Amino acid sequence: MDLQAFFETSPELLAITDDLGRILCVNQAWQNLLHIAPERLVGVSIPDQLQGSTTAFNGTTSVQGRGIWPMGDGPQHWVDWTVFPIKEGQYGFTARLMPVETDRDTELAQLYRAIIEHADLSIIATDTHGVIQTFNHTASKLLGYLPEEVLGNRVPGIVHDWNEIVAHAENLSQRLGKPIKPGFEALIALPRDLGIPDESEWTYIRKNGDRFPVNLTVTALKDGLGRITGYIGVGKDISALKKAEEKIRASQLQLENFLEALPIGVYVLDKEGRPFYANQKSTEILGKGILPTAHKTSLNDVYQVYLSGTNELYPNDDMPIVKGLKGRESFVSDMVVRNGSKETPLEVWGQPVLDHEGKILYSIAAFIDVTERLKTQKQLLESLAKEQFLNEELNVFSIHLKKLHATFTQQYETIQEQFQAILQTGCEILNLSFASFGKVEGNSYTPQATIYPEAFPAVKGEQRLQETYCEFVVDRAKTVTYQEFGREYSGKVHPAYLTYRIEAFIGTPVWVHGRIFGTLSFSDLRPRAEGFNRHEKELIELMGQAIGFAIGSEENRQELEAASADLIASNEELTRINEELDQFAYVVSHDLKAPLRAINNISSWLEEDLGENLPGDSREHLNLLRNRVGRMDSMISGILAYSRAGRKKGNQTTVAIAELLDEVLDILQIPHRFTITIPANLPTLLGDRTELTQVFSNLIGNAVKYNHQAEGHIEILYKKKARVHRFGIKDNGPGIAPEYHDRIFGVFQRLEGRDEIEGTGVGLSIVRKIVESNGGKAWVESELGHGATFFFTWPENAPSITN
Amino acid sequence: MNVRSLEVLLIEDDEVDVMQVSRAFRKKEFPHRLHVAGDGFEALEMMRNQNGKSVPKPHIILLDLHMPRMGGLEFLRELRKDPELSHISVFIMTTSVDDHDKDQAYALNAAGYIVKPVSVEKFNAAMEKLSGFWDLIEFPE
Repeated sequence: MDLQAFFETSPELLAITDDLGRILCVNQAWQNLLHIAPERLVGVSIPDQLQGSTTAFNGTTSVQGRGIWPMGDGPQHWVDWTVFPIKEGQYGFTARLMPVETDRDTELAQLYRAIIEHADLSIIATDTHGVIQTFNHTASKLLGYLPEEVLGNRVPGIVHDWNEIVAHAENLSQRLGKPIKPGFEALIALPRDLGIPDESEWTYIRKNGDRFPVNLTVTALKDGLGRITGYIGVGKDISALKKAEEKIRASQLQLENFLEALPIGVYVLDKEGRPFYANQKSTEILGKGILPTAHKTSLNDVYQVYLSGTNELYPNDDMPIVKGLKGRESFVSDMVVRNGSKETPLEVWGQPVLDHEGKILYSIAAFIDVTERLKTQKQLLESLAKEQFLNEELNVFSIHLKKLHATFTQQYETIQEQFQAILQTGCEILNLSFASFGKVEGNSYTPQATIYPEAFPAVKGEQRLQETYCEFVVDRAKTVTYQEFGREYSGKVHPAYLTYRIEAFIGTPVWVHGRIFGTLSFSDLRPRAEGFNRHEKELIELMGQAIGFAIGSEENRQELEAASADLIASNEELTRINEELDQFAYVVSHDLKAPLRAINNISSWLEEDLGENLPGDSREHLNLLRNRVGRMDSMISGILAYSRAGRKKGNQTTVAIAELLDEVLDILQIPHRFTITIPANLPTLLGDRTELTQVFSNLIGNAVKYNHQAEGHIEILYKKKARVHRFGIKDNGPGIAPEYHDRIFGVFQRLEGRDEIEGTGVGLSIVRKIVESNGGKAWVESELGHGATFFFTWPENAPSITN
Repeated sequence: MNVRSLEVLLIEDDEVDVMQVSRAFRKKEFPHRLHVAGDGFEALEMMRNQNGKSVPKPHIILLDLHMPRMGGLEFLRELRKDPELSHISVFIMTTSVDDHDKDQAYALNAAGYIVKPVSVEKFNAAMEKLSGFWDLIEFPE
């Protein structure tokens, strides 16, 4: 047997070692498979090279294992090895390379390589010293280095931020309790010492200096015996993630800001019912933030939430936020939060927050403080109600006004009826049972018209003003009201209250001709809870005015009647006096004249009887006697005429002056030496024909009588002035000196001697009297030696004194 | 011409006026008999033969209007009431020119209304005419 050949040609790795595992000799396979020269292997310690094999060289039985040949640098292979004792001091070692793994290895390796190469993660594998063994495609892409550039390089130096390394090293030093050097050690300390991966965020630096964040997981690579053979760092570029995170954070921040700024309270419960979030407004409204005691089952108590208008705590299950946890949306407006003495009414919306599967994650409640709105609403309602009320009031007022107007404008037989009607209407529209209109004189109050309900003792006669509430009306001279006299009056008990217990009262003064005539009042035994409004006061004042006016009118009428009566009486008296005067004048003139007649007669008889026996002087005396008697007679007639003149007016007729003048001139029998000039435009006027005749007759008569010219001229002048006819009688007589212009119109005033001119001496005074009694004037314009013009005016519408 | 003597009763209170009438009667030589009563009352008494006064029933009464106690028209009224006396012709002789008096007088059936003229001659002439007028009249007995 060729054991040597067998030994040499065996495809398995064979070796004989000493009992320490040092190779004594090897076969050819080592050269063929591992490409290691036998010479180099002699003396090599297998335990040094093959992890976990040390103990195999101690035993007395064969030990099998799997491991990597060789340890350390250089190509390595997986081997299945067996160590068996040969004899004392010698062991045998066989190892079989994984032949199947070779292919598979290649395939697998290729696969792995592919995976590693194209993984979307940066994969950098190092040996135990940090020298890059693997640098995948992604790593290359991310870091901008070609694998050739980095393979064989240490890791940290190239791609890490040294400060981060330092910080991490410090951190780990603390954690592990022993100093960790900044550098590669910092990266691998955890997997190396604690056997756990180091998962951290780092900043990788690209070849071009760009930085980007990565999530790096560093793990240790171990062999079959658990020995670390290297490290692998898998990095994920988290820049996008980071950006997204940033975005999320930013938007989260935005959201948070938004929520915080929201003037709506936001309170969130998580799905367990624990408070998750409450914004600023929520805290403000509730007066509290998130409290540890807050839970979906205790919200009402914790936050003091009540049912509006009651003292009951709001049932938690009815709260929208709690309902939200059950997946239901809801809204309530009957919630109030009490914070000390403050009560805040709320409107609350509740809503569940679901995940993408529809599972409830949170419940969110949004609520607002509606105090202001409620207040505004309340104000609006109040003002609407007030408006409505006022409208109604106005409507009622307008109805009452119409009623009152109807009462005022009706016709009444007597004023008393009118008063009674007004009182009746007043009671109706004021809704009071008692009414009284009374006259006030000093301290006395005398009812003029009253309304008392049946069975109430009516007060009819005069009372003292102080025994009625009307005293206040008179005192204050304005409308006075009492809603409930007993309660409002602060003075001593009032007599009216004591006796009648009148509670409601409204009274107003009645003014007549600027003084308080009396009072109008309405009252009742029931108090008037609603008081008296502005309109009601206006209504009673209207009634008072109507009554005042009626009385005023009545007073006026009575005065007028009295004045009329007076006037009529005066007129009658005047007429009577006139008649008396006439009678008197007539009788007087008659009685005065009688003796004159007697004197005349007797003187004539004397003359007759004595005949020739009468001496011439005596005859002359008797003549003188008769002459004087005649004068007296004529004076008496003049007085009578004067007294009559202008007093009793006859018929006022239209008188054509031209015609009248003709008559007068005819009657007067003017001597031929006179020429009379009459204007053409003489008017027709209204007047007593007799009077006019008298005037013209007297004036023209005078013009003739007092003119001694050989040729007498009498001119009638006429001018129509405003509202007045002015006539003038112009003569060419002797004229009249100015100092006599007025005197000559007096009775018995003559300028010529008594003996010279015949006449009554009252002509001009009669003219003036007549003219003035018709509202005109009479005067003269004249100068001595230049004739005279007598003027008189006759008004267009001559007044009549008695008619 | 029937010159007969009439009984004429003058009712006049003024003494001088009475004289005037009687003088006229005398001057004109009237055949008539003139009686005088001072006023209406006296006239009635006289005509009724009362109180010791009497007068033959006059044919004519000359009546003044203005008299005390009973005025002329009042007397005339009384006269017209009395059936015995109402037929007597009454001539008003007065100074009054009052239309009213005149109307009233005629309303009471005065036979004439004469306004006494102022002068004596005129008065006498008027009386004469009056007397002449009376001559023509048939008086009731």
